[in-house]
Amino acid sequence: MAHVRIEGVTKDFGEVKALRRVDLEIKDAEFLVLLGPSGCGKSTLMRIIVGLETATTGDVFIDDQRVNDLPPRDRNIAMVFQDYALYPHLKVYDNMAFPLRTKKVPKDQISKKIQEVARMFEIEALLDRKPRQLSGGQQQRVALARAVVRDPVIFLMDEPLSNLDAKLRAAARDELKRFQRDVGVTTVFVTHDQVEALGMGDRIAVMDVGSVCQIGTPEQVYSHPVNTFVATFLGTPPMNLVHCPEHILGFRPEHFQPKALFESGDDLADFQFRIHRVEYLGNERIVYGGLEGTFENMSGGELVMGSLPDSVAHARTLEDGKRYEFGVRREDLRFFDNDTEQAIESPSGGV
Amino acid sequence: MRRFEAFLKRTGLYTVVVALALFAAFPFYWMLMTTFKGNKDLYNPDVNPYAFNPSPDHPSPTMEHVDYLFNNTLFAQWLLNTFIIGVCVVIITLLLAVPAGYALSRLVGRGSDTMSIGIFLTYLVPPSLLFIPLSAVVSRLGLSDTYWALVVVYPTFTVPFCTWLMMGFFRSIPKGIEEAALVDGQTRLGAFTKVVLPLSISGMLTVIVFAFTLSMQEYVYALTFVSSIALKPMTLGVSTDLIRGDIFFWGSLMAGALIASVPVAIIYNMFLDRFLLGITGGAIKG
Amino acid sequence: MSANVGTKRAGGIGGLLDRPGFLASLFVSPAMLYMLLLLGVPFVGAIAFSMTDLNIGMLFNTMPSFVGLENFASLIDDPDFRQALRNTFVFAIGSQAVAIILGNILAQVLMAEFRFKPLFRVLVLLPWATPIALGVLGWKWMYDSIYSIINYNLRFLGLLTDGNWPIWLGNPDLAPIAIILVHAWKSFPFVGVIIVAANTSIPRNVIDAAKVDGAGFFRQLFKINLPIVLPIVTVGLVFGTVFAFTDMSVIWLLTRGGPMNVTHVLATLAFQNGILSGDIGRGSAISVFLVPILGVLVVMALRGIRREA
Repeated sequence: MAHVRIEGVTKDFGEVKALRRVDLEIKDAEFLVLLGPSGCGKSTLMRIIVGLETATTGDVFIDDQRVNDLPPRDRNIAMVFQDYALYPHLKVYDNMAFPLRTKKVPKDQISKKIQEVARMFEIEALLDRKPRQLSGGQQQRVALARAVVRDPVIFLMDEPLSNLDAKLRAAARDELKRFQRDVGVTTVFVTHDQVEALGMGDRIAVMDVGSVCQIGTPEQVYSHPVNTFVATFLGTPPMNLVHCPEHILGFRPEHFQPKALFESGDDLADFQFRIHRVEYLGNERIVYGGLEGTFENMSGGELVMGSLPDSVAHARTLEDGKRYEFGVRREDLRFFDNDTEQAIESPSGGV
Repeated sequence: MRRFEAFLKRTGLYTVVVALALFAAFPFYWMLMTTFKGNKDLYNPDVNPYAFNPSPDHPSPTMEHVDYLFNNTLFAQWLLNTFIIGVCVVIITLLLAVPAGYALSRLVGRGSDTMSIGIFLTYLVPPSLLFIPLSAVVSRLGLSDTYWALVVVYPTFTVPFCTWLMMGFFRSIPKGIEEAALVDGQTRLGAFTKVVLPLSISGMLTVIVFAFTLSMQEYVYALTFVSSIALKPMTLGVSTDLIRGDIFFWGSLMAGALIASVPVAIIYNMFLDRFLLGITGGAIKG
Repeated sequence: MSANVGTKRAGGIGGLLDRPGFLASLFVSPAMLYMLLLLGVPFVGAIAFSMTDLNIGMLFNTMPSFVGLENFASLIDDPDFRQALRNTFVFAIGSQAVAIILGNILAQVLMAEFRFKPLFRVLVLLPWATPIALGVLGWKWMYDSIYSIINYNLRFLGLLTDGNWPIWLGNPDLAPIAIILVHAWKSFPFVGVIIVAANTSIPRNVIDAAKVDGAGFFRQLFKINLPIVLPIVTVGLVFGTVFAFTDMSVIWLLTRGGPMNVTHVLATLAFQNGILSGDIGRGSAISVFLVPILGVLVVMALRGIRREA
């Protein structure tokens, strides 16, 4: 268990500023997700934490000890790579034994520990095989096992689930999260998949172009995004943005429903909505269309989208080309400044 | 008409095939014949050279030249010399080229293109320019008339290409594996010896084969630095010591030349595709 | 669980080995040092020697004196040297030209399908796959003044009239041809193989796109094949040309530069003067003439590579 403090860290690769001033604290036993699009610096930040890169300026503290100059092997951190990076010339058993042998752990202890961890991940049967004889899911479990066997104080994971096919991914997510909760190791998890982030993180740090935009619990980040980037990065389909003269108005597709579906007492904002197309996705319907009336042409040419669960009968009656009355509960509206795109509280003018 | 055209094309193709094959391989066929023809038959301008024409006191075909080669000359010794030189050169080449190839592939980011070009350029400085000053160096080191002079000098043409071969090879090992080793507790040196090297056996094998065959074939430096008959490598021995004054012992000469060529030819044929990959792959990537 | 993070600092031996720069220098220096000492220094040495009157007797007892460009001047006055200079170009360009032609034909053949192709491949690569000195010995025997099998064949085919028995290596007019032939024989398989390799490296979809775009045979050849193939082939050709310009083995084994110094090239003349006669200064001067030639080839090679990049 360790807590990590990152103060004022920047990283330049020659001319390129990969990280601009990151300040971040990761709590003991926390599962923190670094989320962002490619190029946002999340992998760079992680590599600085593990010691494969050094920060250009700023400090990294692990349990209040400054570790900037420590090489990876002295930091007691384990890392799971995106492509697992298993040693191809070694059997699974030796892959797991490698870090222990490096630390000169006595042989019998190694054997005990490996058996223990292998049981935890259900890979006892695979110990004699070589990585190329394993399936993707098995390789992933071995990579995790190799990381766990060292009793590290911090786990770093670089998109470990992205190479799994969709079916495996959901199950792996669950296993991973439950395992972390049981063992209680501080974990930093890097991903570009916002569904994964929302599902797994105790807190999420959303990053873009080298800095952290927002840190918070999944609910905080999803419901109260601090700017339009975070607002549109999280959530599928992304938040609708309407550019009014005084501010940018935002509302999520799942809050954008036909007026008829709301209860009479709800405080609503009204929208005239002409549907271009209804998309049936099995468990939900996505309606694509454009706003008319007061908000005509204010969505910046982007489609406005609404999302209705299939269980709602009314959803099946919606037709292409027709105009409907839609609404959003006022408490679900979000506002952003026209120039800075930062979130603002309540609007100056009315809606 | 089309069938006739096709037939003409076919015949044309086969004619060219036969012509090229003949041009390339005929000398070796002739060497083979000469090896087994008795002297009386060989040095008789009046008989059909493509047939064996035995005479009563002189059998043909015969093993006499091969016998002479192995029993009356130092051919076996020359083969041994070539082998020893080859092994030593391979060891030196591995020791120099493998670490250099690794350093250039991993730890030098840009400027590796410059390195590649630099390596390529060393091959444009030929033995016929260097042999004079090198003979001064060799004298200085007290290595005149030993084959250790060759062991010292041969790596000049094996090391650059082998470094470049290993560079390409190391590049194909994913960086992630090395980083995993670092995170698992190894120093960079440890990561190299415990993880990268075991995965490079195939590349090192190519280096071994290439370095060995190159040193087997060399002639100019051998001619320059070695004069004692017993110390000569086989290319030198065969071309200089199967002659007595003005008389060439052609039968044994051809026997020696053939025997010395066969292993090299076999190895080159086995490894042709690999060498080509190295050359064109490098050229394509720049 | 406490952090248990190491308290070692990155310093000392362990730390040094971690710093990427240090390890890189450690790994590269043996090879670089070696090449510098055994290639770089002699290269400079050759140029230095060429401007002295050093000979083998003086080596390590007396200091040679600096004579400036005297060696070069005396060489240019020497008709044998001028002949050697001419020959260097004639032999190299002649043999490479023949090798390119034959190599092209070979490449076309190698890209076609026919029976016994694997056998053909082995046979046609023999000149390249065997040690040069040994293959040349075979040719020397083939060119023998009395027993030449080539002459026998020519006579057999009726191409030689009676009384006409060419002495290949002894006739000052025929010897150059004999030499060029052997050089070409040695070089053409490699040229052919390189051309094939370069052609097969053209991505399939590029060719397909050209076909769909309606490119005919010649258009495709010039606009697509050639630009992609040329850089690779150029690199191969440069190597072959360097070999042809600087080769000593073939000529030395066939003629020793004779008859009457007619077939010397710079390399063999340098050997004769610098090593056999011990006139280091003069011998070096001869080989130094190779430097500008190689310089031009290097530039051509670099252009060939750069065009790829």
